[in-house]
Amino acid sequence: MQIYSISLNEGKMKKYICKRLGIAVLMLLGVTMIIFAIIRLQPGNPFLMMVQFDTDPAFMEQKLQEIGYYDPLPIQYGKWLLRALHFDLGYSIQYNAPVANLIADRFGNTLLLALTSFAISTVIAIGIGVLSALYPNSIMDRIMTLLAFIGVSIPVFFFGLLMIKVLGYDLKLLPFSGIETIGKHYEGMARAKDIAKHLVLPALTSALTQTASLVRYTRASLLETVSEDYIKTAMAKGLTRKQAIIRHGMKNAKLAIITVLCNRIPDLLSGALIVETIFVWPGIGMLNYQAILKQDYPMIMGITLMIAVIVIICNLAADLLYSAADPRIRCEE
Amino acid sequence: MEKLIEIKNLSVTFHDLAGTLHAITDLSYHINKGEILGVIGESGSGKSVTSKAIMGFLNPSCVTGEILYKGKDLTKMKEKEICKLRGSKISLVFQEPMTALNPVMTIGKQLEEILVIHKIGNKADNHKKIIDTLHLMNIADPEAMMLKYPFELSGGLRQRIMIAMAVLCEPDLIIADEPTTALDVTTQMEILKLLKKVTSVMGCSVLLITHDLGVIAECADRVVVMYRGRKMEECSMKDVFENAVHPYTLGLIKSRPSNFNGRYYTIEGSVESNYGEAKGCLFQKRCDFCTEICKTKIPKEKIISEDHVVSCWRCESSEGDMAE
Amino acid sequence: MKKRKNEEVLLSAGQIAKKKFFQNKMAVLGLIVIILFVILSVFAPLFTKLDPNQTDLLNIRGCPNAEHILGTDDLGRDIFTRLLYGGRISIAVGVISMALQLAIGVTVGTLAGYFGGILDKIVMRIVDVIMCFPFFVIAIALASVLGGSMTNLVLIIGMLMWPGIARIVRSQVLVIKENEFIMGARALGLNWLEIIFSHVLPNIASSVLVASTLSVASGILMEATLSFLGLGVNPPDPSWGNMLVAAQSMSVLKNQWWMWIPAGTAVVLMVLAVNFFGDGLRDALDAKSKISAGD
Repeated sequence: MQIYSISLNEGKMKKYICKRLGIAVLMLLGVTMIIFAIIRLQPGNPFLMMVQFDTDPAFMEQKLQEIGYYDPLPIQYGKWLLRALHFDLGYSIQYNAPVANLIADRFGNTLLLALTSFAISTVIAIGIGVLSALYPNSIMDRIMTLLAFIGVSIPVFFFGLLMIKVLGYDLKLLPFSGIETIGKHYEGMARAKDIAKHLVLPALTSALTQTASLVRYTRASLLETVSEDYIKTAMAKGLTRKQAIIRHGMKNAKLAIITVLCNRIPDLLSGALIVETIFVWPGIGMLNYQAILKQDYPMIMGITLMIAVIVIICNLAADLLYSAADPRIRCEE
Repeated sequence: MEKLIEIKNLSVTFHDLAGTLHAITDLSYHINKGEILGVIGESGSGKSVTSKAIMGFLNPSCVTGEILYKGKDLTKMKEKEICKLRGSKISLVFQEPMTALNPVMTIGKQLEEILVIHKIGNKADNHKKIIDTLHLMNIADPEAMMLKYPFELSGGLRQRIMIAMAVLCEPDLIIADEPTTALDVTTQMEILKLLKKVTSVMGCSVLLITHDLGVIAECADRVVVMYRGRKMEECSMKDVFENAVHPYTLGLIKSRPSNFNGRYYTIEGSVESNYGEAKGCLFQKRCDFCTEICKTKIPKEKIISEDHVVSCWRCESSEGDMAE
Repeated sequence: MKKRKNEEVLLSAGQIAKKKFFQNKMAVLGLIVIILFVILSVFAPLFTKLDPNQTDLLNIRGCPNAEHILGTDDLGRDIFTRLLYGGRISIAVGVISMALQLAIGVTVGTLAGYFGGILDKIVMRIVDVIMCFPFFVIAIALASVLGGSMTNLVLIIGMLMWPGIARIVRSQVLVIKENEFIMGARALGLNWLEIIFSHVLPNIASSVLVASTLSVASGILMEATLSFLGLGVNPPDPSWGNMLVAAQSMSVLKNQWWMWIPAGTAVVLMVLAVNFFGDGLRDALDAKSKISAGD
């Protein structure tokens, strides 16, 4: 049955996707240009750190000319963009290694942390949201709301520090630094277990704020759905309130929730910068932070580009998913 | 005629910060099998609350009195019990067709659902039944309609789908709560004709709630006039226009634009809210015939003739007060 | 409040909102805590006789005692005093950045929503671009380029967060624009400036009010995080955020809880209070939510 509707609108869908892609690319360019300008406008010459301090200044000047350090900004940007398209993101000033490789090494760690905390927060938040919609103003609902409030009011790093102190130091339950225990070289299952243990605290910390704000969102959108007219119609058909909410309400609420979830992914993948720094988790976030402190331009640009691409892909995915799920958008545009 | 639904001394009270709201007070009437009963009243008259009470949507603590259906009291039923009746024996058509359907489900699925909920027939039979019902609704090409989404339909079409949904399980009673208010005039006529057709074809009763006398004139068999939560008059269709007794009913009839004779007639004053206890007749401030007793005592129901009762001090019946 | 004979009570919209608000216990509690914190910070000299920057190198990392209720920090400064004075800065950052966000966001959102067309399209693109990036990534980059200071902090938070307000305002304005009373106003001959000020703005006031309250909360959170990372308020000026820098040292984290937990708790309590207050405000101003009366 659905095929009938879709085939009529395939042409429209294609146009819609192309339009969105076009806008996405433009935004990508715009953002990278802005970041490029901001970073380049920083005073100071980071290359000084890369060379021995008794190097001949004239030689340095010559080298800088060669690299293109004195080129006008737009040309620098253009050159960088061209190289980036070939996945060449330059050399990190700190590590003296290709930026692309450094990012690739760490990406897996960030992905692990991100997926774990995403999974935890999504499951809990949707669960609580549904329960709140089914039993509004019950005691459980009020407690959950209170906890959600507290969750969004705690700075992530403070919660992380508390976790480290209480669960790490005082109770000595879990490790809180790095991804593996230093000095021990585990293999296979033992290694996986070790990493898992190190994962717990950072994942929980990262999941906390996410869950809290997501809960408020799912709860609000489900409550709103619940008061819609078609829920009354569903009840008039003979469904109990709970059935009506689950069968009809969820269908509609999931649209809003999908968009929200898609929009959370960039946050996660940008390395949950703060969580990684506190727990010394070797991911993109920590790399980013160090790069900024040390003015490692190529690294900053490389990571920013990656984040920009991810963000734009996620927005596009959210739009497409939403239009696929909501027939109104699919058939109209 | 056999009584399908009997409402006895129904009172619905809501409590909010502004006080105690008496939405319905001491309401009694009945709906016969196979008839279209029109309930007419302005906003604040409590007519929609009646439909909610019958369907069991109200908090039981707000409701006193009885609503009898086949001997059982609907107000005392548990949710599971009344869910069995909703949609299958007593169904509801809402006022606002634009928002009453789930926007992300096809029409076909939404219609199927009601048969599935009440476990009627198998998939093939149900499909045929839905197509037949859509034909009954004068919908061209029912097969195509099944695949469409609500937003693709006009208001009139959506309302017809709502009626189709109400009729699918062959209910005993259809409650139509202002079914034509949100539609334009020509569409109104079609929907009313449809309701009449449905009654005659399926033999079900219709409780038609409206504020529009024209709608009542078009299809009702009997009429109940409500004002601020109380019943003012109950009589047959013919009696309403020819022998109405209650000043409010008379005022409504005079206010029709077709009674224009130089000026449009309006009932003086405006509807007051129903907070707090009432003293005397609720219509006293707007009544041309108000007397001293009207201001102090609530009028009792008086029988004018068979099938015609009125709550007004103005009329004296030869039989005296009703024994309820 | 007008009363009529049979117990009927007529309330104005403002009175209804007030009644709803004060029924919400958490919101009222939030308001009390906010007022408390503001009084403690603004009138800090009344509550502590010590100087926040006065060092006492003989009394480093001292435990809480009678003289120093919350102990002393790395340089022997009294933590309680620094907490009170730090409150001034942290709360100020929250409030001033909110004002900046409002100023830009409301203006941009209203104009974009009211006039539509190309202006709207360009503005919304800018809003999208700024909004789709994780705040801290850009904020940290900017802060490291511009250097840390209270002014820069306010600027960064304000400039990165105004799109949020602009979006809310714009969507409200779009709805109001379609209302008939706007057409009526134009028919009466009002020009766009008059219409915006007398008709559009009052109607978006309640959602703007709620949004600005919540932005104060996030402003305080952001100050805390950025100062903790060394990119915000600079020492020796105290702020709740930079007091937490102490926790970066392992031994302090483990042993000297008074050096960092009070500041963090202050942030949590203040933000929590503002969030409750803002949420209560939202419920009170929402025309659809009902007043309950112990049903």
